[in-house]
Order: sequence, then structure tokens, then C-alpha cells
Amino acid sequence: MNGTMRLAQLRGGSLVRRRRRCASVLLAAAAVFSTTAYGALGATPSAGALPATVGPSGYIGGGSSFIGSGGGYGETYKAPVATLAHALFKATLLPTNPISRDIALAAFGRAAVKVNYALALKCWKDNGCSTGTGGKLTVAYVEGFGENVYRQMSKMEFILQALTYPQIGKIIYMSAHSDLTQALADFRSVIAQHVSAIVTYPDFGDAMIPVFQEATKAGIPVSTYAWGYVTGPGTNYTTVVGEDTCKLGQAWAQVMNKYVKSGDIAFLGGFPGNPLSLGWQTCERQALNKSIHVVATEWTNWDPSKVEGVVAGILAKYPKIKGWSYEDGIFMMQGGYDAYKAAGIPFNGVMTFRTDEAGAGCIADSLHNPNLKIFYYTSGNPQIRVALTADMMKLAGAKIPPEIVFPIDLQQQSQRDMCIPGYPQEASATSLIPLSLLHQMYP
Amino acid sequence: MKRGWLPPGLMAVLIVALGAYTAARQPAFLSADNLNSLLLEAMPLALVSLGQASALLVGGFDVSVAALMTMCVVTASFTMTPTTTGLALVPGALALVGVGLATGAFNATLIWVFRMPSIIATLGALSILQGASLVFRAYPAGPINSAVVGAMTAGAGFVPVAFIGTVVLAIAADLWLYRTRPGLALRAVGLDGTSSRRLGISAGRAVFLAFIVCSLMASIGGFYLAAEVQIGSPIIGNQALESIAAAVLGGASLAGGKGSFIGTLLAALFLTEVDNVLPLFQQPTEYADMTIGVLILLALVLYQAPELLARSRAAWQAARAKATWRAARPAGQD
Repeated sequence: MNGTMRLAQLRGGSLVRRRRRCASVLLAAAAVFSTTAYGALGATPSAGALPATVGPSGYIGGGSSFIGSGGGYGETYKAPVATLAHALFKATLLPTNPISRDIALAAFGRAAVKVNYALALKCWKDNGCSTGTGGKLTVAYVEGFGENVYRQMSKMEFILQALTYPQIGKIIYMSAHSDLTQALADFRSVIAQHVSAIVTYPDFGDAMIPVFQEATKAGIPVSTYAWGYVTGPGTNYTTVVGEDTCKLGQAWAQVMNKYVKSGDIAFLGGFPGNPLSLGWQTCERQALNKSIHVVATEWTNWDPSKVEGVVAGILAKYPKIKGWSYEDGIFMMQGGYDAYKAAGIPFNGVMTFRTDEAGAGCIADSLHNPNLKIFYYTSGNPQIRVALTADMMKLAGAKIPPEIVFPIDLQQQSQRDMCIPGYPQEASATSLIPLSLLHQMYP
Repeated sequence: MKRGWLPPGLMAVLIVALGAYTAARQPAFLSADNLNSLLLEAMPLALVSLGQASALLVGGFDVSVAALMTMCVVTASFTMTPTTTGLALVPGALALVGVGLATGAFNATLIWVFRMPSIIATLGALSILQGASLVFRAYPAGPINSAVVGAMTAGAGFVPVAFIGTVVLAIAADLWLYRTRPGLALRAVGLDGTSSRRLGISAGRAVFLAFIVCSLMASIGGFYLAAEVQIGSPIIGNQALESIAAAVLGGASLAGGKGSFIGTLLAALFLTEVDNVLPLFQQPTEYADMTIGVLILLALVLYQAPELLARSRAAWQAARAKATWRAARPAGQD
């Protein structure tokens, strides 16, 4: 049958009435589908009817010492020493800028404020909630990618911090699943909803500038954490919280210079072009001595399943590689170790990590290998608390510095063990999430 | 186009129904800012979907469109920089169109001259373009000229002028497709290439042009993607499957020969509306993917139902006639 004939047949009139009936039925089905699919969307979880399991919003230890004094903009610039030491390795590792230091103290000081754990858990599971306080503010944690334990823990830290503010009535969380277009749409959506404050990890770097500017223009403070560095803090957006990743890279280079001395090393990173990876990679490369060669720089998308393949590929070409720098300790200790094992190469070398998952330390302990030298920094999940507090202080009228920078102090696994028995493997040991809650998140 | 009303009609109903439902519960939905944002976000998908519909009309599809759009964003970050002004922007803009035309010619040559299946040919182009984007921009960098962005996002009220232009384009394309002889020829090629060749229609040329148009529309969509992100991002484009979904929801048949540009435009708008609505309800975007999947299946059933019924009826009648003939024939005649 030729095309013209078939077109003519399709236009045949005998079936038209039946088609119309059929179409009407299916249209109705579509409408019902449409209504039911979105019918459940309006409901938001609330604090009502939840058991009141109340406790401090963060780790406060057993001591009674505090650092700091004074306050303003609804905050007290004072935090428990135990909280600071837990989150930062040492209580003294606070930002040097006085205003930044006060903001950090105010944020960590809120660890002692009691919150409802059942509500926090529900909020975490439901990706947002009404806090039940009747507060008029809405805060949003909007990120480009939220599908690993690190980000999920950051989400919980954000929720716990938000619950310490009675003026916050609603918490919103969004992840764009690594999709930049969706991330931009999500951001514009919360701006359209006139949220009060936004905290984000900008996985897509400067590609987020247009929406940061739109939020700032709308009077919504935007803060990033984990040195999610986007150009123009203080003008394009409120502030960036975290360690200076350039200094982190330089600190790792010092480790490599001291322990590798000469030979090949490799860099792994997250998403192509993400500001965290680029920040340390650029500075570490510049600070390495001339006998050390970075033979590979690969992206893993912070996906544990990709790490083994990437490491295997590098090992195939450079079997005598001596060092690795990467953000995620446990991904390297799991996937990287498997790749070494498969290649029949001893798991020796110098490794510098940005995270301190308990499981990474436990794997290292189980290997009993003195030729495996691991240096790490804190995962920095609690930095998101500082970002939210910075936003809240901005709303209260405070002038927020464009950067809130935490000093770098690397730890060596052989001297300070990351492994904490009974702790969830993927969880950072410096997180402030109360352990009982952490166990409910990751039973 | 007697039953061609169905896909556009269904999409229009869904757009209005979802919009009304959302507006009743989320006042932010109808704010001028949100509606403007929705229409601007719909632009890249709408444009690339119109192109995809032309590829589907000739029985192929193009999976390289998203990578092409990304390449256009990256190209724009070199050719339409903040320091470029006035007439110097014209060659910069033409560079994007050039990238589109070159990709289209590449795909079309593989498909027409070398007889490669469209999915294989465009998959190759996808990989090349993806790699090239990352080579030119390893990370988001290179701001795009703000005057260009401003011009492209300019609007009458909350409606971007470009969106109005796209609506006019879709209407004109449908009129061409259903009211002109070349339009009929294009559909005939998609329905049955061999027969249309016998009737004197140049099927190869139709396929070639369809893929050129597809890539050209993707490159214009790339302009709007560039306006959205405003920086040379090497990982922005992801509209390949969505553009096919929009074309199918808009009435295109995967077998070729059928489609509606207006339906495609409305479907693209609906898919963007779903993406816009879910965050307003603080619902995860996974639901958008699920919704698209369910709707595609629903659309296939809905749009193909009359044909399926007709074929079933014909088969049933043939079987019954055969059975009657067997029962009536003299014994021992087998």
C-alpha cells in the first residue's frame, strides 16, 4: 500500500464515531490519571502526632566548657568545646575573621538546642516538612546532586539546624539528580515560592550564577557550604562556607612531597568541573615538587560504582603509582582497594582524602598495612549548619562576610583513627548528627 | 487531519488541568515570574522537539540533539562573549547555526548515503559532540553576552516574544505539513518510503532535509539553553529522550508518516509544566520521569487504538471467513 492510499484510508469515516467514543473514554482516563497522580502532592508532613523524642540538635559531648561570648541578630556566639572539637578535630580550628568566627560559634552553639528527632527523621525521609512551630519563614536546601550518604547527612544536619529556629515553619529539600537544567528549574521554583533563605551545594559551579543572582535580587539570602565556590560571594550570593580548597590542595601536596618524594600520583574528582575538585586539584598540582608527576586526573561523579573502574584503568597504565588524592575516603578504600586486589597489586601508597567516613578508617585498620599512609580532612557536613545560620543572621540584618573559611588541619589515620566501632560505615565521624538519629537513618 | 486533533487536544487538556490544579493549591504557580520562567524553560525543549518531530515524520529519530545543544552552548561561550558587541555578534550567532547545519549534514549523509539506521548514525554524532564539548570546556566557564541573553528572553508581559514566535512557527509548519503537496510527500515518505519512491517522490532528499531541519532546530534550541545557563557549561543538554517523548505525545508515530508540530509544542510545554509543578509541591523530580513514561504508554495506546481495533477486526473477519469457507467446502477436498 502506498503512502497516499494509506493516508486516505486513515481518513476513512466509518471509524470516526467509534474513535471519538474511544478517545473520550481514554481522555477521561488521562484526566483521572492526571488528577490522581497529582492528588497526593498537596499534602505536606507536619509535626502533629509525632512522638516527642527530644534531644540536642547536635553532638554536645559530656563536658561543660564553652568557647566564645556575646551575641546578636538572634544568636549567641558561644559553642560547647566538645561540639567544636568533634566537628573540627580541634575546638580552636575556627575561622580567623572575627565575624565569621561568631557566625560559626552561633551555628555550632545551636547543637545544644533541643529538637524533635522523630520530626527530624520524618522531614529527612520526606524531603521536607512543616516544623509545626507556625513560624513564618521557609528555608530551602537546593542541590544539584543528593544521592550519596554525604549529601544525605548534610540534609539531616540542615534539618536539625533549621529545627532550632522557631521562626522557621517550613523546610524544603530538592535534588536535581545531577541534571543542571533541573537544578536551575528547582532554584527558580523556590524563588517563585518566595522562600526566606536558600542553602546549596552548587555542583555545577558558575553555571548557577544566573539563579543565584535572581535569588539575591529577590532579597533571598543564598549560602553555599563545603566550599561550593561560585564566583562572586558577597555580590552574586551571600556567602560561601568551608575550608579553602586551595589550601587543602596545598596541604595534600605537602604530604605527597614528604612521603611520595618522587614518582607518579593521580587525582580523582567528582563531577566534571565541580568547584570543590577543581579548587584543590589546581593548587595541589602547583605545590607538588618537580619529581612528582600527576599522571591522571579522572572524574568519578562521586559515584562509588565508578571509582573501582576508574582506579583499575589508571592502575592498568601506571601500576607503580604511588599516591592518590580524592575527596571521598570510603569510595577509595572500597572501590580503589578492590581495583588493586583485582590487578594483583599491593594496596600501598599515600592517600589524601577530604572525608573521614568511619568505614574508611575501619578498612584501613583491617589491612594492617604500614605501607598504606592515609591523611584526611573532615567531611565537613556541619558546615551546612553554619551556612543556614549565616542566612538567618542575614535575614536578621547582620552583615555577612563573603567567605567563612575554616583552617585546614590534616589528620593521619595511623595517629587519629577514623574508625568508630558501631558507627555507620559511610557516615563521617565528624558529623554532628546525634548517634541515635544516625542509626535510625542508616539502621 | 481529521483525527489529528486528538494529540494536541489531549495535551491542551492536560496543560490546563494540571495548571488549574496547581494554581488552586500553589498561588506561586500563576505569578508572572513563575509563568515567565516556565515558558523560557520550555523554549529549548519546544524547539528541539519540533526538530525531532520532523525526523520522526520520515521514520527516523535523532539522539544527538542534546549533545548538539550542549555544543552550541559551549560554542556561544566562545563566540558571544561579554566583550563582543554590535555586528560582531552576528558571526558568533551564525557559528551556532553552522554547528547545527554541519551536524545535520553529517547525520543525514550517514543515514541517506550510507544507509545507516538513524539511531546508530546519531549515536555516533552524540558521542563526538559530547566529547568535543568537554574538550573545549572542561568545566562551566565563559560567560555569554548579557545583551544577547536579554534579547532572547525579552517578553511581552510574562510571555517571551520567542515563545510567541515558536507558536507561530509550529502553526505554519502544521499548515505546510497538512495543506501542501510537499507536506503530503514528506508524510508519504515516512509512511512507506518504497511506495513513495515509486510515485516519484524523492525519499532520500526528504530524509536528508528532515535531519538537517532537526539539527537546525536543536541548534536554535541551543541558543535558548545558552540564555538559560548564561555560561559555557559542557554538561547541560539532556533533551534527547524528552524531545522524542514530546514528539510522540504530540502525535508523532515512531513508524513515521504521522505527527503534529502544534501537538509537539504543546507536549513540550506540558512536560516542562510537570517539571515546574513538582518543585512547587516539594515533590521529587523522579515523578516527572515516571509521568513522562506513563504518558507515553498512554499516548501510544490512545493514538494507536483505532488502528489496532481496525486491524483486529479485519483479522477476526478474515479468520471467520476462512472458517465459513472451510465449513462450506465439500468433504475430502483438502
